[in-house]
Order: sequence, then C-alpha cells, then structure tokens
Amino acid sequence: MRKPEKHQKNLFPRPATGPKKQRPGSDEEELLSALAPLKPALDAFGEETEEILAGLATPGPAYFTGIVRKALAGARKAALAEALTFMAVAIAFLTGVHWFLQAGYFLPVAVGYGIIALLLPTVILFVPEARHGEVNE
Amino acid sequence: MNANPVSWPLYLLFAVLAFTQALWIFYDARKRGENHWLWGLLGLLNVPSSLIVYLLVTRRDKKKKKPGI
Repeated sequence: MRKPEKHQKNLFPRPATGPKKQRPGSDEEELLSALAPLKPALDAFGEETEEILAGLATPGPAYFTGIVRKALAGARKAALAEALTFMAVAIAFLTGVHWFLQAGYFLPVAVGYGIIALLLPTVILFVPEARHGEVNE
Repeated sequence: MNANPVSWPLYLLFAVLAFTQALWIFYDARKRGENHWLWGLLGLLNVPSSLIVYLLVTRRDKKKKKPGI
C-alpha cells in the first residue's frame, strides 16, 4: 500500500486530547455558508421541474376510479370462479362417494374417508403453526 | 352381506347438508383469511362435527389474537 504523502491533508484527524469547546450552532452556520453558492442553481432546478410537471397532462379522477373499479370487478370475478370451482369439486366428491357406495365398495370408502378425516384436520391445524414457528426462528 | 348398506334418500340428505355446510365454511374461511379450500373440504366430510370444529378453532383463534393486537 502506498504511504500518504506528507503534504496531504489528513482526512480523518484524531480527536484532540482535551474536550474541545465548540460554539453551539457553529456547524449549522458552516453548513449554511457552504450551501449558499448552490442556492441559485437549486432554485433554478426547482423552477424547471415545476414547469415540466405543469406541462404534463394529469388524468382526471375518473381515470383512477376506473382503475379501482376494474380491479374490484376482477377480484369479484376471481372470487366467483373460485367458489364455482369449489362447488364443482364438492359435487364431484359427493358423487364419487355415492358412485363407489353404489358399486359396493363400502369398506374402501370407509377406509379412505377415515384417512381423509384424520389427515385433513391435522394438516389444517398444524401446518400454519409449523410455518409460524419457521418464521419466528 | 348387503352390497349397498347406505340408502339413497339418506345419502342425498347427507350430501345436501354436507354441501351447504362446506360452502358456508368455504365462504366464511375466505372472509376470515383462513385456508378456505382445506376448511371447505373438511366441511364435506361430516355433518355437523366439521362445522363445530371449524367454529371452535376459528373463534378460539380470534379470541386469542385479540388482546395482542
């Protein structure tokens, strides 16, 4: 590594040994005096930005209302489709059970029902808790 | 042994009750942000024990969560 040259200013000076007394507000004054030359440039930039923004066409409230209405209609449609899918699954399940019972598969239906009745509550009750545990870890 | 021990009208009654119950559980679980598909499928299995389990679990959880919020 290259050694710093002697004439270079120390960028990270060590703190003085004794407590250095500082005038309150001296930093603020220093900062304001440093920023003073930048003020005209910043003001010009602000004015220019305002002009550009004023030139842009802002859509009216109807546009945003339309977006919200469209999103709500989409969500409603999705919820209805999901409910209809569930109804179809439920009817298929009940019809299937009925068909198996009619065909004489009483024991397999009873065993399958028992397994589902045992596993489904276990999954519902313990899977979210396991996930919470993972998140907390 | 009788090949079909479940009578058709009895099964129809069970199916209608289970379907209605499952649909209600499905809607309610979705409204509450629960796992509505699994709860709904559970509602198809038994009448009315699934409904009782669902009500106990969801209402108990709600009571537990309230003071923390």
